[in-house]
Amino acid sequence: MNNEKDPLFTLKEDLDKELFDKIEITSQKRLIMSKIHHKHTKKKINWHIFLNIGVTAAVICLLSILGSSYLSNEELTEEDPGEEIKNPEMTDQHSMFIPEDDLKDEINEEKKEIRKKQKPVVEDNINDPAPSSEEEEPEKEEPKPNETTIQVPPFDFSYILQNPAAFTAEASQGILHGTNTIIGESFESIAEKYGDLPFVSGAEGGYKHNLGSDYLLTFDEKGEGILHRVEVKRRINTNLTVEQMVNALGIPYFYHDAMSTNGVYMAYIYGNYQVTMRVEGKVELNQRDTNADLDVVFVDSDAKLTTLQLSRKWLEETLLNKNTEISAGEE
Amino acid sequence: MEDTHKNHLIESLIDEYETPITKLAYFYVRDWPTAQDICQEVFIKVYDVLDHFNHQSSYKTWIYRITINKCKDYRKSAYFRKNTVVDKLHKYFNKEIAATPEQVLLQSEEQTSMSALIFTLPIKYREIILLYYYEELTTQEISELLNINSSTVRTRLGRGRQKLKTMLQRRDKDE
Repeated sequence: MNNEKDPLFTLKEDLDKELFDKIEITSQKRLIMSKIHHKHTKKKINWHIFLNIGVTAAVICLLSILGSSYLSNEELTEEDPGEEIKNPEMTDQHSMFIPEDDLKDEINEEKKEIRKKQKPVVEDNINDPAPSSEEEEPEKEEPKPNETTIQVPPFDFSYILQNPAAFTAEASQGILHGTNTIIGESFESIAEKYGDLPFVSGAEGGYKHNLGSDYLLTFDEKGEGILHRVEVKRRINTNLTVEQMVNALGIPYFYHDAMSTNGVYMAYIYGNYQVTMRVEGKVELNQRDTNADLDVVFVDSDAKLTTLQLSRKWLEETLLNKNTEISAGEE
Repeated sequence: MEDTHKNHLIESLIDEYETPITKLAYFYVRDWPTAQDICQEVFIKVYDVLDHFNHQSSYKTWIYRITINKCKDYRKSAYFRKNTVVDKLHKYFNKEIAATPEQVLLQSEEQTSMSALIFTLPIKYREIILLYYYEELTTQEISELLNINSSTVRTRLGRGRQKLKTMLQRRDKDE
């Protein structure tokens, strides 16, 4: 390529001598290698950082998605009312959730309405004499062909005075003598015995039945069509006094019913049941302090007992006392 | 390619081509530290693209092409242009300052040296002359390296050589 005739054949030697002889050429190999490794380590670190962050984010996303898929019972029940409001007409579907309490209330209301439509309401009046109209009596005496009424023994308060032990024994079993019923039995069985009874609403309301000419029988239903309370009321003026009952059944509890009738009652408790009688006569009440119940401090021994009621025990014995003075009132 | 193999290969390439690459870069940038920096960048680049090397040319040609491209990029940069202008102004004002006879003699010797004459050539002739005479590449290798026709290489080589001969003859007459 380069021969001796070419004046530039010594170019390489000349340039080396002029340019590079004075320069001390040192190797940059170590520096280059360290730069290469540093750069690639950085790349690897970045890759690992992004990988770790990505994996962590993916796990968090997955957990949040899975977590949101499972609602707690409280969260689920919070959403149910909305669904019910949207489709109230779908209550006949078996798969739909219907609150139990609402269903019971609906059934009870429907039953009451049906009974009201079937029978006229009987007015409850203490002073109202026994029905004597010629039009009504034949209807009652003539049994309806579909009704399976049974004969019940005639009721009289005198039975209690004559047979206190037997009355007490029956009462402790939930049976009110002379009514042929037992507390806790179904209303269907009562309907079989007494037919469809008219219903009266109010504090002293219930399903009414004339027990003979002197007494009015009231059945009270409480929950799931079960007999809760049976009451006998003397229609005409009664001669049964507090003293007679105390002599027959012993010292009772006296209490003032401030919640409903505002009357004074005497009560006997027999196991899970209680017998209460309304006292009408001279009584004295006392209030210990502003918010306390009224205590019955005095009852005239000649005060009359107008009603007798047997029910499940709901009185609390610890809140009652037998300190009431029973004596003849001053005329 | 495995990292270990890559490391061995790049180390051997550095051993073989580090000095020629730095010198080649110097011919373009005329500054030794800059040439060394370019040399570093060239080998880092070689390491990065080593997996993509297709072996259609030799490692020497491939690395030389990377070096020349780096040098040309540097010469196009604003930093190089600014420095060149500053250098020219510096030289111009230095001429105006009165110098001693020894300094004038040294300056005249520097200006008439072979390297000074080479650097006065336009870059398109200078790179062909240097690749041909200094790097001892064939015109075919130079055409592949610069991605131009070999006839163009030969033309530029002839013209560059003629220019250099003229300058050498003028220098000899002056001496």
